[in-house]
Amino acid sequence: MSVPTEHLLALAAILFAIGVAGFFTRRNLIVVLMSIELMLNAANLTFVAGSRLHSSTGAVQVDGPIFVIFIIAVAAVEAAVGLALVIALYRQKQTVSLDAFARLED
Amino acid sequence: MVDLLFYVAALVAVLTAVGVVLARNPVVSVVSLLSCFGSLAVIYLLAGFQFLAAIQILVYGGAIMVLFLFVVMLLNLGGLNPEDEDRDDPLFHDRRRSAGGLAVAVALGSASLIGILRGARHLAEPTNGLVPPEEGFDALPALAEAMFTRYSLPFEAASVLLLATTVGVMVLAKRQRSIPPAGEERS
Amino acid sequence: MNPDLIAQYFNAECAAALAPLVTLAGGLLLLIVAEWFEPMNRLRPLLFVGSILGAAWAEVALLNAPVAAVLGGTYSADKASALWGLVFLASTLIAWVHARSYYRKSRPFLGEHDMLLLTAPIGMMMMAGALDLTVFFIGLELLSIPLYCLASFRRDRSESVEAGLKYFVLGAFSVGLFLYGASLIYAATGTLSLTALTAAAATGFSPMAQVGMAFVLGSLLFKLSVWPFHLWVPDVYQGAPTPVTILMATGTKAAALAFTLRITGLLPESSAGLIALLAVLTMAAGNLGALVQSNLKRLLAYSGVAHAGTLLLLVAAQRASGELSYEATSAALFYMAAYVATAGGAFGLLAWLEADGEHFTQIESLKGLGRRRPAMAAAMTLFLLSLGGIPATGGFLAKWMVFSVTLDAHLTGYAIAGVLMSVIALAYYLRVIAAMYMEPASDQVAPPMAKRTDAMLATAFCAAAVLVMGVLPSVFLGLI
Repeated sequence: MSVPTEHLLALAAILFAIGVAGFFTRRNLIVVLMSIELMLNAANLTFVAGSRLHSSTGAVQVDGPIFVIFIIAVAAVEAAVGLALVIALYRQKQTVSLDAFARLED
Repeated sequence: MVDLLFYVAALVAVLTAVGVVLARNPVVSVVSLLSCFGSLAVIYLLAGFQFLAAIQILVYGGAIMVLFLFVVMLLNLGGLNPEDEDRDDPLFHDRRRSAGGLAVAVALGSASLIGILRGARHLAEPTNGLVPPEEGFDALPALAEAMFTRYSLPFEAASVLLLATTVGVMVLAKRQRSIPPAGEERS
Repeated sequence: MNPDLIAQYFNAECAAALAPLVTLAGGLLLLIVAEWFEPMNRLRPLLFVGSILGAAWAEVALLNAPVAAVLGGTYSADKASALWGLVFLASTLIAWVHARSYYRKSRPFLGEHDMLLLTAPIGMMMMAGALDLTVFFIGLELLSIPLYCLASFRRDRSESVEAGLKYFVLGAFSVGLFLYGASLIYAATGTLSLTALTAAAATGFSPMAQVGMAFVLGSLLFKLSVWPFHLWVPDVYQGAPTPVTILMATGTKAAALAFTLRITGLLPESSAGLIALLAVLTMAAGNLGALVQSNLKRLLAYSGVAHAGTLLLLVAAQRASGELSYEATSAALFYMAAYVATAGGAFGLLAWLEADGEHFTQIESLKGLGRRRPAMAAAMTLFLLSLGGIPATGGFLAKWMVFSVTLDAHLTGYAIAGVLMSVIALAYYLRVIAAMYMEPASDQVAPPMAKRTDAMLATAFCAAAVLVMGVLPSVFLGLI
């Protein structure tokens, strides 16, 4: 594929922006978590594009792919913890909406 | 031809990502996100990252998204109850909040886009012509060697992280069966 | 695998550098075994304290024989990292001791609590010693994930679950920001190593790397609780169990600061003024917020924000003066050591008070504490004075060091603003002290407090540390 690197990077930036938009506008916590996953995937795509750009024949730049593997592992970890917290919230308030947060004043 | 496939996959990725954010029903969001990850895997494959494409499908598609779907089903949020659906985020219901969020997203996104487009001029011309080697850019021998030498600390730490996560999630999600007798625990 | 390769990476130096991390991880495994194997249950405290002391011993060994870089230059166990490690361990130990009496009334999952608490310092050490963004990232997660779980550890209280969830959602967002920033830096430069990146930054980053760096800095400022990313702090600190708050307020802040100081070389030189401005705004936001609080836990949370502002001045000074300066690092270390003892002591006393009922953290209910519990009131007074930076306490010297470093970096205006802010801060600390001593006890009678030897010992230790740092600072400065 001879697509220029900028196009991959631009696609990643768009995905990142969509993720950020979802994070700030949605109130359903599960969708908020999915928006964060979108942001992580934007980072993955940028790492891939960077590795492809900086590799030369015979010398592969593996730092990017390795970081991607770590990100995927951590994404699984964060999804597990986040969903466990969502379940804990649901057990208390029977909702998964951010609106359930009472303001924690004194 | 291959390039065209990239643009098709990119279009699908963007559309499904928008679908994740806009869908009212969380199940639709989950399926959109799954398709988004699928098209990203296609892009990884086209770019010459075969191993990452496989991981993307196996871990993201096979494990993480199933976990999401499982929780949506467990909490019965599939939009079966019309009342829940009404209460649950109409995206543009709270206009001020949505406008603020969109403004942040546009600001961050355009900052990165400007950086990318202006930075592209600084990027060195790759010597490989962007054509992936046969074994892919993420050739496993090189990947494994780096992972188990230079990156052995984060690798081992990630295993500790998974262990700690297991413990933490168990604490959070376990039903509170072990509540001590009444009066001993504050409500 | 090629044996030469193994010898090249895994040598004695590497073993020494990683010894503290390995000790803690080993302790974690033993704790899991102890939880599963009934007769070993009672060994849990011994295992926890043993692992912390073992790791501290390994850090002290590193102090005498520092290791510059191991594992292909991804992790450093130099003198500063070893000292940071000791700060993290002290913070964890203080949190743990207070947790022992705090959770007495809700017993389930205490073993899991210790496991999670022991994982956090591993992450902090990786953050402080990271020479590579990958190592930092995993360290950050290793610190954050246990804290998310610990913050919502008291699932019976909705505040605790909400605090954990709030911390998690914002933390996950900041991680996303960090990762995207790191990926932009990588795409622009082709490396993740801080050494290589610092060299690249010296010749000028491309716009793409600069945007990436801005994102990375933003996520660090979130962890440091800097304005305008500080709004989560009071809610999370208040909702989380107080011993966990100790770790969040002291350990997390120290780890984020240690890494931020390490990467100042990647920031453009012109950013020093902007960071100093953020520092002053953070101090203003923290102090003004604290002035109007009636809950001591929230007041201390806002005061923590103000302290983060003071620490950010150090980052600005470091950037302004160019190369990694010895003074800025030692000032940061001394400040955080004093802050661990001071804030750890103050939050610890709160945990102690809170065990008798949640409303006892209201300033209102502290009235007459000076008569009811003179020793406790005296300790609280000492901690508050140290937070306010009164001479003869550790807090004074710490502030003095920070401001002198800032002056040396020719950020005079910001240093003066910082000193003025510290004077404003005195107002709310003195208000609490006045409530304890000057005002008669309210009608509401406090229940007799149970004697808690371990909490008392921890408080005495913190108080002694604060005094020694104030009166005989050379004991600590000799180490640095």
